[in-house]
Amino acid sequence: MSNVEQRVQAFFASLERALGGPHEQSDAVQAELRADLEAQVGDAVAAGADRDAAWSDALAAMGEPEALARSMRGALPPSMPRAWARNLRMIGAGLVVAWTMTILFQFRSWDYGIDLRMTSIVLGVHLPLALLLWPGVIWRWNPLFYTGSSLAFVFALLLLEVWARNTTITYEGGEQLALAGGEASAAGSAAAPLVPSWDWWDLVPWLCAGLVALTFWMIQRRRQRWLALALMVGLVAPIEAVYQVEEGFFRAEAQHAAAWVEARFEERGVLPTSEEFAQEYEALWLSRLYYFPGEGTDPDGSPSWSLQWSRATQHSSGLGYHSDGTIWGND
Amino acid sequence: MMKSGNPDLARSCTDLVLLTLLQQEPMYGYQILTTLQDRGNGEFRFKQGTLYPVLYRMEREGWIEATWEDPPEGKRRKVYRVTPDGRKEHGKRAAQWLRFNDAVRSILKEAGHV
Repeated sequence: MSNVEQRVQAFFASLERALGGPHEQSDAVQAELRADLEAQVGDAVAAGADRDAAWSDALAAMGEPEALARSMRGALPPSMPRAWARNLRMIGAGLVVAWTMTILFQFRSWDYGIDLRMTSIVLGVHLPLALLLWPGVIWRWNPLFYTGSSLAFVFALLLLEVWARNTTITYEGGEQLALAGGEASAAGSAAAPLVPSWDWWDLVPWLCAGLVALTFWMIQRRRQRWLALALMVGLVAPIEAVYQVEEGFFRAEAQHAAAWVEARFEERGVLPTSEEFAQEYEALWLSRLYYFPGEGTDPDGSPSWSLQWSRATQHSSGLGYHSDGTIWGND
Repeated sequence: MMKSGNPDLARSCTDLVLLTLLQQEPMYGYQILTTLQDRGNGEFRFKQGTLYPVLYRMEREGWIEATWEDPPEGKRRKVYRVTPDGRKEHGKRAAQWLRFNDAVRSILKEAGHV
């Protein structure tokens, strides 16, 4: 074996050692480099150069194998694990996704309307796990960049939270929220400021959102980022669509029931009883609607009453309607 | 990274140049090097060992993809070609570069250098 051949072999042996990782990956890199080196040497020889000198020049142009491997390692995708490990990881990721959907479905039934904080917590805990399990999605770790970026992201969200809580926000339905926050607003007021308040538990959804952001930054391929985003939307959107439709039906039914109760009240001067409602009310869409006449009055002075309905999608949860127009979820 | 009149300047548009070449035709590593030397007026002379990490990074970004091909003559080669995402990225970067180039030319012209 000539001196140059020994150097070529030593170069590739060092490169293989320095690359580490799976053999298939290292073999593929070496095969590519060897083919290109041979082409380069072939051109040089065709142009009249000495073969050994051409190999020496080509190897010199490659640089030190350790340095070359170092610069490649950060950019090389991982080889797929063995088939059984790959399948196991895919099944694991699928199970996590299925579990996430189950939890999201359950939690969503507890509220009227989407609870973004709870959704953020569930996704923040489960989505990174599913993406880590799925082979070939997250495979490079740059602690400084990723940790710094995610902390910055969380900090930005916290600032937004602080700003929102200390800003007078008005919107339709503000009255109920202000009452819930402990500060009664004037009856009939269409808008009320939110009460600035702090609870350390409020940080949890933001931290979970930061975890999701961190996971997205760790995803190596741009296309995979879009797919992960689609997965996130795909987890939430079908569940939300089902509950939105259900809540739409409930709103329509509640308005229909409110018209019936008000008509009976105007006719007789007293609210109908629960028994009368059960026997005489003709439902528009929903069955098993329970009516409860109240003892108090609404802000406009009319007697209060409420409706309860067990969700069709989740019998252990329900929706409530109060005669002042409030709708809420029950777990 | 590469030998040129101004390595920083050349480095700033490496991705654009490589995407442009590979958009014209699929190429293997050594072919990219020689084509750059031929067409780049000596400004883009990659040290061979620095080309592959750049290609792998662009592959990771999804801008290019590689396949092993067996030409009728010659040896098996790993050939790189631009993906649809790469074409979009190329369009974006080319527009940015041309805008920047126009701006620099405008300033130089105003100062009487062009």
